[in-house]
Amino acid sequence: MSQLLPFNLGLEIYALELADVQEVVEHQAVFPLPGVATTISGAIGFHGRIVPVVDLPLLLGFDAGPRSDRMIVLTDVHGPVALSIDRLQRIITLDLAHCTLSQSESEEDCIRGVIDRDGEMISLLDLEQLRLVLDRVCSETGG
Amino acid sequence: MAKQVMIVDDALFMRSMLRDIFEAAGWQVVAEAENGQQAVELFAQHQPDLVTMDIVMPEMSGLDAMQKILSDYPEAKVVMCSALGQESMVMEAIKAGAKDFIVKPFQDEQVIDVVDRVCAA
Amino acid sequence: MDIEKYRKMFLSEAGEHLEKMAEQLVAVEADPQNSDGIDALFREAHSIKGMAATMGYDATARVSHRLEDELQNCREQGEVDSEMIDRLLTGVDLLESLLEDISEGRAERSVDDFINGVMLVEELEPIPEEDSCDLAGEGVLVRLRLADSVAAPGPRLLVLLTRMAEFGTVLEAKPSEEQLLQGEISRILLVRLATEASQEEIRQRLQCYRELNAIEFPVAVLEKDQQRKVSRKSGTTVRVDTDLLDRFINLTGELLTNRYQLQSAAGERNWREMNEGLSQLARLVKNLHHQVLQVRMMPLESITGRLPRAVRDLCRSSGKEVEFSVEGASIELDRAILEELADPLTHMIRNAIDHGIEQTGSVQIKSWRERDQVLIQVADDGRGIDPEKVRKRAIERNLISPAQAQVMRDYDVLQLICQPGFSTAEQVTETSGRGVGMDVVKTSVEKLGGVLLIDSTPGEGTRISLKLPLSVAIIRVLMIECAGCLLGIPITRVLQTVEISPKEVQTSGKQLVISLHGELLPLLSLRKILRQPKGPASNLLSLVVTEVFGRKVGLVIDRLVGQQEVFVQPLPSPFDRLRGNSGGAILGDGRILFLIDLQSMLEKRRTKGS
Repeated sequence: MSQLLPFNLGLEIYALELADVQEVVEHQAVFPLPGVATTISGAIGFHGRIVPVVDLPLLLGFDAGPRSDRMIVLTDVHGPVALSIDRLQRIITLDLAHCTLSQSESEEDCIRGVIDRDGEMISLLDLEQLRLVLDRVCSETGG
Repeated sequence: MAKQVMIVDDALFMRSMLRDIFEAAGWQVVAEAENGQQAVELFAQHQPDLVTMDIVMPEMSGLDAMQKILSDYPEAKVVMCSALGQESMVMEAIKAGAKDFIVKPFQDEQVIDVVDRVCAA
Repeated sequence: MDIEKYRKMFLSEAGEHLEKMAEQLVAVEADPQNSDGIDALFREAHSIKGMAATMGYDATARVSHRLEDELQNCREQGEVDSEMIDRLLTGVDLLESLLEDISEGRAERSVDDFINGVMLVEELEPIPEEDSCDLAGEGVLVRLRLADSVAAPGPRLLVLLTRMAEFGTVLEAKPSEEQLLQGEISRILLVRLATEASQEEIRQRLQCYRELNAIEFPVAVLEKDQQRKVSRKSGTTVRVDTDLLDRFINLTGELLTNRYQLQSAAGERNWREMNEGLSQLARLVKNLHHQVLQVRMMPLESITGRLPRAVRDLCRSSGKEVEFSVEGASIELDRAILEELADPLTHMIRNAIDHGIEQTGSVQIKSWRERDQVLIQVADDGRGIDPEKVRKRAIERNLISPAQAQVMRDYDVLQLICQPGFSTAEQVTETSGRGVGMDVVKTSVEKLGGVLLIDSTPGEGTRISLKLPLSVAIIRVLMIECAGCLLGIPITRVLQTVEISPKEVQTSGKQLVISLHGELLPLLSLRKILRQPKGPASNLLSLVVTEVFGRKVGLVIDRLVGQQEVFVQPLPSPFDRLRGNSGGAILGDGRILFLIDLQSMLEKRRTKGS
């Protein structure tokens, strides 16, 4: 059984495995980091560390807009990085073995697979691809 | 626009010397007064950016003239001119509101240094 | 230049030169045609002259200049006659007295007699003590020295005192207004000022007073004493090896000489010398930086010293018997690291005794250096941590999924103890054995750029290893505000800060410039560089004068905020690759300050534009 943390990006539902989540923070002041790509909205202070905040919806091609005041901080293996999202949902438990992990068409959309949960489609975020996208954003000479 | 100055001194020699120094430095000398009473009247008429005021003058002293000017125009900038040995009078003038002072005999650049910084303040 | 800082070093260095002069004089007196001796005398006098002129000690500079001239004559004549020896000795004596004046904080005594060639027959009486550094208390101390040539010092000081009041409130002045009005004569004005203005602002606004020889910001003697007393407790001062101090003095001497070189090269527009001087300066600054870091180092002992006592108290209260030892206490770390480490270390020891040791056992701290890192291990031979219990707890607390728990190695599982939320205050000890507050400890260590790892074997004990950098990246930054962002520029990159009126801005071709110290300074807008919208019009432009691509520029910012020492963290990968950013710092109030690297920011624009 796996625990998933689903959340909304625009009208779509994405999810992360709970094991990849270090913490969900709420009402954290984001200090803007000027002169960088708009997908990097700044950074938060997280247990004495500076953790960059990524506007995940914008990064994945959704519209710009105000995000939820909750952010997902990924484990150090994947960051640390805080992801802005549109809305956080409640944790669900699924047996991933029994879900169809359909391969996504593109490598750029950061989707590891899509889970059909009683007709509701949940895209599983691919953190390795996300890292590659972030690598590229950070190496660009500016947004 | 050139800054305007009024020179107050009972000695014509001193006035013309100061006039030369100011004009060489691009100032406009709008008035010269040879005693305190005249200084008060001419100040009201011209309201210059700066006044150089001899401290010892017949009739009304420089100190009295300055105080009179300041009571009507608190923003007035007055620089006292004194000779060596008049320190206590100069200090009295400073306490009463003089912005700075020059000591005779003076050098051109010293005078301009002092009035420039008084105007800049 | 903050003259006060260099005054002591100047004194020591100049004192050495004087000593050498005295030695050489004896040698030359014995052998009047000793040309090596004459050359050496000339060089010593020349060095003193250069340093004194740089420091603005006019009288000292004049006397040493005169000695230099006379020694030049001797060089040409090929000998020093006995009359000249007397004259030189008098000069050296006078220089000694002048150094004394400077060291006591007095104005330099008159040297006209010597310069005019009159032999000083009478003993040079020291000028009566009027040390001015005894105004202690709050506020900024400012000491103004009038030049020898100022005609009416009393009224001059009164004007200055009045001017000082414009910066804030004059808390105390020496001489005071009354003393001045009563005719007290002094060439030094010492003012204790309650002001918002920075030293730099005060200095800049007083700079138009050419009558001033020096504008100094001394530290009150009493205040220093108080600081010293306080420091015993808070550790805000460090003890410095005298060897190290000597090195500082030498470096400062070299820097002063270097400055003089640069000054004269600039005066002569000799670019070759200028370049040489600059590369010399680069070397000196690097060396200085290294030495300063050295001063910050303290032995681990300074924080482990209090532990045996804490262990004894813990043993007494818990009824356990613990053998405690520290190895490698002489390992040195930056004092900022040690300060941050003191509490976590105590905490780990307490954990070891409370939860590790069952009845009797040992707790050991070991420290050693590994290349650029210091390792500190806290080990006990207690009951150890059971990874199975940690697994269970981590699942309960939603830190890992059951599936994850199955595949995770024991070692990785142990690290979960440091996860925030692994243990809470209400379930203190037995389950985890060790969890309490470990997240706080780990956070502290990571904040310092270090790593914390836990290793444990049930029944054999637990070992917690800290890997720490030798010194932290603590740098002084100029804090600025731009488009609502708080940004920092390393102070070493800042040449000057200026506030100007927009009226002073001119155009030169397409470039906006201002004239600063007779030089045209191109202006760059930080907002524009950061692609931020234009700011509201203001009647004051704040500029940071800095150098990019070897060229001086004025960076237009929204506001100067202040200066602060900050602990710089690099951003985590891959954000550390962001151009124009060189890390950030979390300030005391929780705000994050980003350090900007102007050059790489502009490089970014260059490459983008091309």
